[in-house]
Amino acid sequence: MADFRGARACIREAFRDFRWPEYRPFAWIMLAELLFVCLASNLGTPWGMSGAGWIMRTAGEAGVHYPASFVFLSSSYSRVESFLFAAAGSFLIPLSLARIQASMAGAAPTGPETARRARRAYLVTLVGYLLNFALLIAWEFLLQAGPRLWFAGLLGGIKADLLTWGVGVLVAFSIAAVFLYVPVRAAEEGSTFRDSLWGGIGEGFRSFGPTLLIVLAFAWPTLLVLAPLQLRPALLVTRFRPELMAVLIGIAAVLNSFVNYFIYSAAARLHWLDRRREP
Amino acid sequence: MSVGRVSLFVAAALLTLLCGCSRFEGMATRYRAERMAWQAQREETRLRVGKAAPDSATMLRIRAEYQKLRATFRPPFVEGSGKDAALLRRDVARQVGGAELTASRAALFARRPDLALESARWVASIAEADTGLAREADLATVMALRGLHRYDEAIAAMRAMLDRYPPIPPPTPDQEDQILNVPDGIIELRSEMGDSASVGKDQAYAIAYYRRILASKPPPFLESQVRARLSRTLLETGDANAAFAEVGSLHALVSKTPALRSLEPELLYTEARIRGMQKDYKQAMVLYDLVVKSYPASPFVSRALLDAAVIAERMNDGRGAIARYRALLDRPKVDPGLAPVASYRMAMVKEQMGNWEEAKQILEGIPVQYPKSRAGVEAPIAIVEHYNRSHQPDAAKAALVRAIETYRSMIARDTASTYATVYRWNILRAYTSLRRWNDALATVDQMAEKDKAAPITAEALFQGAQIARANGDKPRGDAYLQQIVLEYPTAPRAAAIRKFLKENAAAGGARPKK
Repeated sequence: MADFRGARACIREAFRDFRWPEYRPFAWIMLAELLFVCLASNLGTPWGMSGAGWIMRTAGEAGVHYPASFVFLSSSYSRVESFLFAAAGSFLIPLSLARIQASMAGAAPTGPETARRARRAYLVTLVGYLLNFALLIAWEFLLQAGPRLWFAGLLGGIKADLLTWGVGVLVAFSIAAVFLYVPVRAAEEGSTFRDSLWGGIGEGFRSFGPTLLIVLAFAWPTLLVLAPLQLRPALLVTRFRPELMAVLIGIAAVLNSFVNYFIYSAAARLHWLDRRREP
Repeated sequence: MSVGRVSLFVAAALLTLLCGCSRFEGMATRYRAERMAWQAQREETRLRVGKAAPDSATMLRIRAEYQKLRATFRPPFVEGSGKDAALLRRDVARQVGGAELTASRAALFARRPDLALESARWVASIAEADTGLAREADLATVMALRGLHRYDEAIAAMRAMLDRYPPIPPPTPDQEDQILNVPDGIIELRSEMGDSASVGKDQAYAIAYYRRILASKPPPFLESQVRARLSRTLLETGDANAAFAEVGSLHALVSKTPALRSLEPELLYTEARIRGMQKDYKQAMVLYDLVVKSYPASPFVSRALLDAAVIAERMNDGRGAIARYRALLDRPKVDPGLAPVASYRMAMVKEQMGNWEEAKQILEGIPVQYPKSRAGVEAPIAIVEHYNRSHQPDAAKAALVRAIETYRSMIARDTASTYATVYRWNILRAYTSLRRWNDALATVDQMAEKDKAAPITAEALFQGAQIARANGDKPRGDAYLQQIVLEYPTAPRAAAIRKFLKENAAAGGARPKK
């Protein structure tokens, strides 16, 4: 079973052993996200409106009007990100993990073998992601119905909003930590659907503490950027410039891309360490 | 070709196709218009910071910001046909038109009603079938015409609005279509102009308008609003019986429609007014007091207090009258239309009761507190009249000089106010009383230039002609008379002056111009 000391070592190693070919799959997702942010920030042009308008409109008619489009940009971006992680990430994340595992095993990170393993891991990663996503939505509903109201009654104002947001993020990260090992196991040689999904979830529960430490250790810079975006989007739009939302979301997208890579890289190392300890 | 390159090609082709789609182009245009309007608003906020009342230069800069939309987006704004294109075209026209109307308002505040009028007319030209925008444009046109002192045109525009835009039935009794305010707006404008002869005609026009709407059998909420206005206007004209009939119909409507219960204070108030007009003062007082006690939050409480105080005056109950005026002025939300009247009348009652010092204090405060009111115009003259009545000629002269100073300061505060004409007229009266003939004639010249088309200017020119002739300046007097004939041909004195000038010309004096 993984411990916190091992997790800290994995965090350091993941950070030190950054390799471009391993990160590249995450870069593709990031580029798609940045393309959306760029299109959504240029709704005043026909190409911006035709490229992002239909996505922005899923948030309501206000999504294609100025300056409301920037208030809704954060939620539309989340939808795009979720879609990209489900549709493309289910292949690209195992691809990155297969390359990390190949490097750890001393094999060539790029090549047909890693692509084959990533393709094989697609379905289970997608199912794992969808389960994770469903739980996140359920938690969001619960948060709005319970804790948010209690905090508002108890503290009120910005303090209640901050606390609700903090609790929301912490539980969301906890859920993500449980599902983190599904693609890690799926990218391994000889893994099966059942072993990857249930085995991955089981490993997530077993290594919950160290995994959460990994997630939090890498994710906090993104949280600093995301906090104003998610807590007070209307304030940013009305008091400052609406376009600031797009800049902050762009920064969050770049940071998030690297953060996701480092989290998976550290989790893969922790998993490998755990495997080596098994009798 | 690899799969990746094919996908890239398809995506590029799709994007190009979508870019060409006029719907997205229209949506992008609307977005740009919204962005520009928002930027203009931000710029306005920035320019207004630290300025309680921005100067004309600032207002013109604000106008320029809003005018950027008109300069950037040209009609028809969105190309293409079909329902979607028409909706987008309407949206962009509303954005651009709305910004231009804000520019029009800014021009009005910058004392450039000519620019305001041009903007308003341009918006009217792009409104097409958009009734909402056309109405806004027409209202802006009326405001600009008022600013230009083209009152008759403003009234004509308001009447055209009544014909063009039938009132929209409100979803709740608390909401009211602004178009129903227009007849009262016309009457108010005539009153401000001091054209009491036309007020009666406009009241008759308003009554006919309300009756026309009622004849079309409107829904209950609209019917109640129109009947309430009709009964009020009938009361203003002194037709108590017709007003009483309308109140009866309104009573029946309210009892049939539970959602109209909020009209009960107005009904009670109107009934009290009718009793007052029928000289049944005791019953009227009972009903007015009932309005005050039963519906303390109703806006009709102020009116009930004022009317009850007036009746108390008639019944020689000075203390009762003062108590009611005081109650009106001490209300949390003082009615700006009634407060100056209450203050003025309270001062008059106090004067009658021998408390001149308090009365004078109140009268001196009215022009400062309520500069845009008839009471504000009359208060300085009331002080002069008190001294005249009490045979104190020196005090009367000093009060006249103070009155002139007060009027001058009020003009300086708002040179575009419709009251500026009446202030200048009172300055002329004061100079005439002080026998300062040169100052009086200078004021006549000012009115001839700044208050063109105002009916009272014709009277000022006539006064000027009399003063000039009395002081041996016959050519100047004749010039004033000529000006009346030329510029005010419908003025009450115009015919007599024309005849006088003809006779004068026959005798070898000035010749009337045609």
